Amino acid sequence: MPLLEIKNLHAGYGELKVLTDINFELEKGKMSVLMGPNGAGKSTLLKSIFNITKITSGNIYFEHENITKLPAYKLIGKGISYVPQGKINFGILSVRDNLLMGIHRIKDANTVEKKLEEIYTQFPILKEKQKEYAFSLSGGQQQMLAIGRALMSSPKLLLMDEPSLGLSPKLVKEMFQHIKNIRDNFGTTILVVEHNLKSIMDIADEGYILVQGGVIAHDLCCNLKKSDAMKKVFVGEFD
Amino acid sequence: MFLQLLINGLIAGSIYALISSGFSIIYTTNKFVHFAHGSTATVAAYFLYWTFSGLGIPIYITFPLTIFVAALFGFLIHLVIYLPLKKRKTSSVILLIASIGIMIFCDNLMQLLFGANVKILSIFPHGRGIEFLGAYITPIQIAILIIVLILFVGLWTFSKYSRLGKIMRAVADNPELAKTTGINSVRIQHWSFVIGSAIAGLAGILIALEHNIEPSMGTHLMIQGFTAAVIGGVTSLPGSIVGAYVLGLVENFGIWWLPSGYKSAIAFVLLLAFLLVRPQGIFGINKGARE
Repeated sequence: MPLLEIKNLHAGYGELKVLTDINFELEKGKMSVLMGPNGAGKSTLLKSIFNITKITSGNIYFEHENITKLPAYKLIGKGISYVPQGKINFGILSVRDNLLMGIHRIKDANTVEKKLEEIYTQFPILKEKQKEYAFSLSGGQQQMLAIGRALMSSPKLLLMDEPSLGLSPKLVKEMFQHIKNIRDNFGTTILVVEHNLKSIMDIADEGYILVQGGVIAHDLCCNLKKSDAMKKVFVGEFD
Repeated sequence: MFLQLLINGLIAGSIYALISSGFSIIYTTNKFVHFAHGSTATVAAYFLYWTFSGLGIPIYITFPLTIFVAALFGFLIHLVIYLPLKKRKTSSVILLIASIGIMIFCDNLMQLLFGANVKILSIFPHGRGIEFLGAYITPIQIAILIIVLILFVGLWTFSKYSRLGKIMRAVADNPELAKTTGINSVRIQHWSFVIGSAIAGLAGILIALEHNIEPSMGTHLMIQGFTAAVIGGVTSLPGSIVGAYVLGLVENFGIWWLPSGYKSAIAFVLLLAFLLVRPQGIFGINKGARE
């Protein structure tokens, strides 16, 4: 049963049209990766699911409910979390307070503490640095914090925009291991935009290749690796 | 002389801080200069004058009612004027121009309703004051110092430890990210106007008691409140309060050497000096390279 279904989606920013007629489904508990050249619309697709772009037509269903017009803050309640790219934390808040922002609607202190401990077990460095300002963290720690915050609301679907951006090869490996653990341990469905194709394909289940705002290929990662479309992505033929 | 100037400086600082702190709360969560913030204090002062002197309502009702009206006034300005402009994605310059428009409108409306002459609130008669080591301080001034101190401890605790305070700081730091963590930014911006304007309402009451009421009082205060916020660091609540006391003290100690007419000039020199040398203000955080 698909967790998320996108039907005939067209979206963009104001007058700029980025996505044209996107159709796809995400299976429960699976990790899917969105690949493609720069400007293909990968980030825009994540933002469209989270309703922070202008959707001109089409529909998005989550657990068979039409969520196309729901504002971002209601989507969190439905079980969708989003880790953006760029400025991904509240720099002037402590690490702990950053995590609390991910669960700010829940007032029960026990639930909150339990959830915090869960995240600290997954990312022990965050516990060590819980009282420090988020802006003082390194790039890798910042990314862990952002993912940790997204997990605080126990999402069914986690959207991630380039979690390996700006990380060293060693940290990228570590980050992908964390992402794999999130799927395997929590059963979270993950949709991730990545440029580190080789590493992500080793852990993801399915892949989508986006070119100029449309899906040109979709398959299991093991099949996609050998496909022509994938080769073209690797050699930069679509760039 | 020294002690008298110190007391005067602290009282002036307290009053400026009442304006600068509310201004800072609104600025950080909304990212534009709400110049009509001072007018909220003016409207509050006139409301107090009307209800107390005009209608004869006792102070234990009019004081809280005035703060409520100020909060409501701020909320309505945001709801009716700023929010529709923001929804059209107007720049912060347009919002600033709108705020100046509101300020001019309010000042003139008060003049139309109550006249241009100065109004005096005779709730507590001004005495000569209490002598303290050769300096004089009136009971109202002592009350101002104490009320402002209590308010700021409360505000600091609210901002640092309460859930809403933390969410407000999150929205102030990164409104786009706040949206993606499920925070309803508009609701938080409403709250910032309610809280900031309630403080301006308190400022209106205290100024009406300490000085007189006139239509342009809020505008003058806003200039000083804005200067104080810049000096302390406009994005920092404690900074805007410290900045207010620095301004109050510098202005008052300045007139030890200069004629008192130069008081405002001292404020502007200080503003320019900070903009040139330390634009982030005393408490503004320089986040450095890691973002």
